[in-house]
Amino acid sequence: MKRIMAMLLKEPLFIFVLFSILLFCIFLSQKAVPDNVIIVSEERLKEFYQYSRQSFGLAAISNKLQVMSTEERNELTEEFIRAEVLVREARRMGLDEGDFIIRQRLIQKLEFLSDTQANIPEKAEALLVDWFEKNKDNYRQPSEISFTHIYFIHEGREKAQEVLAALISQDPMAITEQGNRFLYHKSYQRKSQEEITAHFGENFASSVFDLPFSSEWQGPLASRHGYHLVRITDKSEAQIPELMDVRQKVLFDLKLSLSLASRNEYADTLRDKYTIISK
Amino acid sequence: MTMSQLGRHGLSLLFVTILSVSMIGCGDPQETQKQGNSGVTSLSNQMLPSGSMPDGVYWGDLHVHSRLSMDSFSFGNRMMTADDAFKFAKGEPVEAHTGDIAQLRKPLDFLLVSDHAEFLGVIASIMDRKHGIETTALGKRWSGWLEDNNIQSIINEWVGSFDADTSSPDAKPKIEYPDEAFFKGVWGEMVETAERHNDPGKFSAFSGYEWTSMIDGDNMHRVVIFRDGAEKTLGAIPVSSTENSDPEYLWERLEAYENQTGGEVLAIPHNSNLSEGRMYSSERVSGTIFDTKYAKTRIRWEPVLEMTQVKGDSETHPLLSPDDPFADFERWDETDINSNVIPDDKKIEVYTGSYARPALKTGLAMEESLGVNPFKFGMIGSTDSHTVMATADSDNYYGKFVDSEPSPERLMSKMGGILWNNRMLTAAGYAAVWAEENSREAIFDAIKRKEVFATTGPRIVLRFFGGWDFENADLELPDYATQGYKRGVPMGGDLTGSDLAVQSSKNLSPRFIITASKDPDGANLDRAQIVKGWLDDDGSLHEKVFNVAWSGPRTLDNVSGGLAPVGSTVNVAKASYTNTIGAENLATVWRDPEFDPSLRAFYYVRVLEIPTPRWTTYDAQRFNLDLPDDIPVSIQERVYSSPIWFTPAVN
Repeated sequence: MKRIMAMLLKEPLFIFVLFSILLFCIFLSQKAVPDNVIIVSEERLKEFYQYSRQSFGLAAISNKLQVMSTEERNELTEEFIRAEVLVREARRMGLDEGDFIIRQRLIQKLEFLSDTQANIPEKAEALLVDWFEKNKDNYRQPSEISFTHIYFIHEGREKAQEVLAALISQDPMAITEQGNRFLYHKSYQRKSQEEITAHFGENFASSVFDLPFSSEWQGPLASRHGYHLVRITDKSEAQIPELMDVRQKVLFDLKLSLSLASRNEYADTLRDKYTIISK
Repeated sequence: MTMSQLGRHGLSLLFVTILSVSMIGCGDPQETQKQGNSGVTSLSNQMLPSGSMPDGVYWGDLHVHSRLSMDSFSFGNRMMTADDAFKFAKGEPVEAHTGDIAQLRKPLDFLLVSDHAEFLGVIASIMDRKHGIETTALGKRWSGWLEDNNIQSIINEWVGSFDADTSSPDAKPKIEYPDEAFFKGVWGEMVETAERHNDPGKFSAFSGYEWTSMIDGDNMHRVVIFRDGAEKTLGAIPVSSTENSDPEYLWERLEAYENQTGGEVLAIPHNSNLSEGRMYSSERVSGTIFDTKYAKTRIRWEPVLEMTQVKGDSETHPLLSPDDPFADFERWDETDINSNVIPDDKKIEVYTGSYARPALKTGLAMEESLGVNPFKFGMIGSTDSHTVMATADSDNYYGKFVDSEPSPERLMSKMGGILWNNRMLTAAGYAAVWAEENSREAIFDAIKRKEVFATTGPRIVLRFFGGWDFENADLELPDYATQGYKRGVPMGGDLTGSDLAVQSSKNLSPRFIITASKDPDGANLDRAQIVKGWLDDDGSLHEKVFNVAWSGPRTLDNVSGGLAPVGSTVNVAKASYTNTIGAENLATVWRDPEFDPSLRAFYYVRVLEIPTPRWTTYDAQRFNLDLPDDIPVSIQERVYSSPIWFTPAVN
């Protein structure tokens, strides 16, 4: 007997027939409901209550219908019927057609459905290590620089070169009180290229990061403000962090990417059912 | 773990070494000290370790809440933690409740997650079934309400407990309060999170909390900030105002902390604008008048005020400063924190105790009678965000509670569904701190010496020095700041009549160096102003606003000293502006033309940006909405320096 069952279960035709019978039974059990009949069931009332009170999944809400007074329940039923009538009439008049908000909402619901079916949280946990390995360049922590600078106005390039020469020959006169007043700071500590760009502009930011790490004064480098002599006090190269240090962020990105992929895949499957005519 | 910590400390040690070596090149520090003190007495200068000088301004927020705060959780923040707050401040993206990916355009340099001490973490721990709270009577009752989604009953209980009876020292809150073991668990987590995010040289993560006293609905809130790390703070379980709502009690507890641990701690008041005049009233909570001891104690613990934040700006009020055309800015002046309306005939009296400028003036009069100025405070801003996202930019603003995160509804919705209109919220502010380095210690010490300023959002770099012999030529010096420290005092400092210079020449007036550079990513500057307050010899208090530097070809009115508006480039429909007006940089040396060496005075700087769209205007454009007409379409964002005080010589 067991063997026969096993054989049958492998037989596609048998499965098909079984499935068809099942479907037919379901069909028979359904009686068509005319358009102008509204069925008030426990299930639909509960759903209506949850939506109208914006509270889901809490035990107390599920029990709420049971503990309601008859008066409260009748009131809720009336509310439900009224809403159902209005929705049906609106649909009948085609008011949902071309409504951008309703369209967006429908799309959102379908995408949400695709997300739930795709088991994203579980998949993300499982794929995390591999995915980080493949994408770790995106998590590279930027290079940082610390430096002090002496600033010269646009016309001060030659002066800057003189001061640099004096600094290199360690002329003590050159060390203090040279240059012009700068808008922002004299020293910068552990700043990324982006942060340096904000105060000096792009050209300077990229040149200062290109300078060799040396305790000597270097320059002059041009910026949008003028010229700068620079002494680097610290510099760290860009580095890729350990997964444990950026785990939450990676997980977040991975989930986002999985959900996008599954939504696209789902949309593609559905799209195959349609013929597109361009006019 | 241990290795990486060692590595981090090693790195910062190396960095400090490099820094101090590079300082040696800047002249002999001992020598500087001697020259610099040519008669100028300054607390500020004396408190700095000799030779080092603040050369960087650091931006931060000392007032942000996570789900551990009762109101944050009750109003919808079920998930966002202190960990998220630190990540967000460091510039990482977080997922807002709306599903948006929220991110700061520029990271902050420091942060304090200041969750409310009262019922700290109770409801979040009930949800998480943590620290044993779930087994207590309160835990079970609230757990039931939580499951029923009956947040209102929970709110009613904890709000009720704020009006605790302070008449006797052992007064108890009206409902049972979790025991110390519970709060120890929650506080332990908070301290651990701050330690994990503290990265000296790059990012300072402070430990602290908010002490939330509301006496008759008068906002007396203070943020408590620790200078120290876990080895000292771990035992300092937050003081709850349900124990005693009088700030004098809080100060006693702070003093006990310092005595026991050798650590340091401060309290920072905020929203004096919602205190119904109580924050800077001339009476103590107990009803008695100030004495010298009280004045000393108060300024010892509260050297700065958070005077601009999401619930409005507390600089001054048009009724108090009728001659100041910029006094009407982001006002929250109709009620106290409990929405009790302020009657018309009480307004002047109430506002005098509610705003910074009148309080600074009152302080001068008090110093005259008590010998100590209890209101000698500096100024900072912070956000008071309750969703962990510390945003103060008008075009990237995430509001206060979950219900004021960006959505098409927030222009018309109310805070918590029932309180103020969300559109009243201000996209403000941050604390700007002049410090030698980015570390908890350096930033805390700068706050203590008031070398700080407040911004409503833009990162305008403001320097302010007071002295006797500054010249316009000093502005051309590359190290004018060195001169500022050598020959004067920075913001937060003191000039006195006993300074040698004043005594030797009776005709001297104080001179001030003011430089302001626009936010590199923001709007140009309209003008820099000095706000002066003084105590006349007849005991009356006065104030005057001087325009001292401005953009474009405008001239001061000979009689009034007024200056024409800078104009506006704001396009409301497009929510845009252009930097075709205003200046990138304003700099001047200003001499007080009306100085009287026999009168107490203070001077602070206010710098205004050119008009830019208010956050609500960005919203209207983004979501295609009509703008309600009870809010301005554009604002002039601003920074406020801490004052420099002048005290006459004692005869």
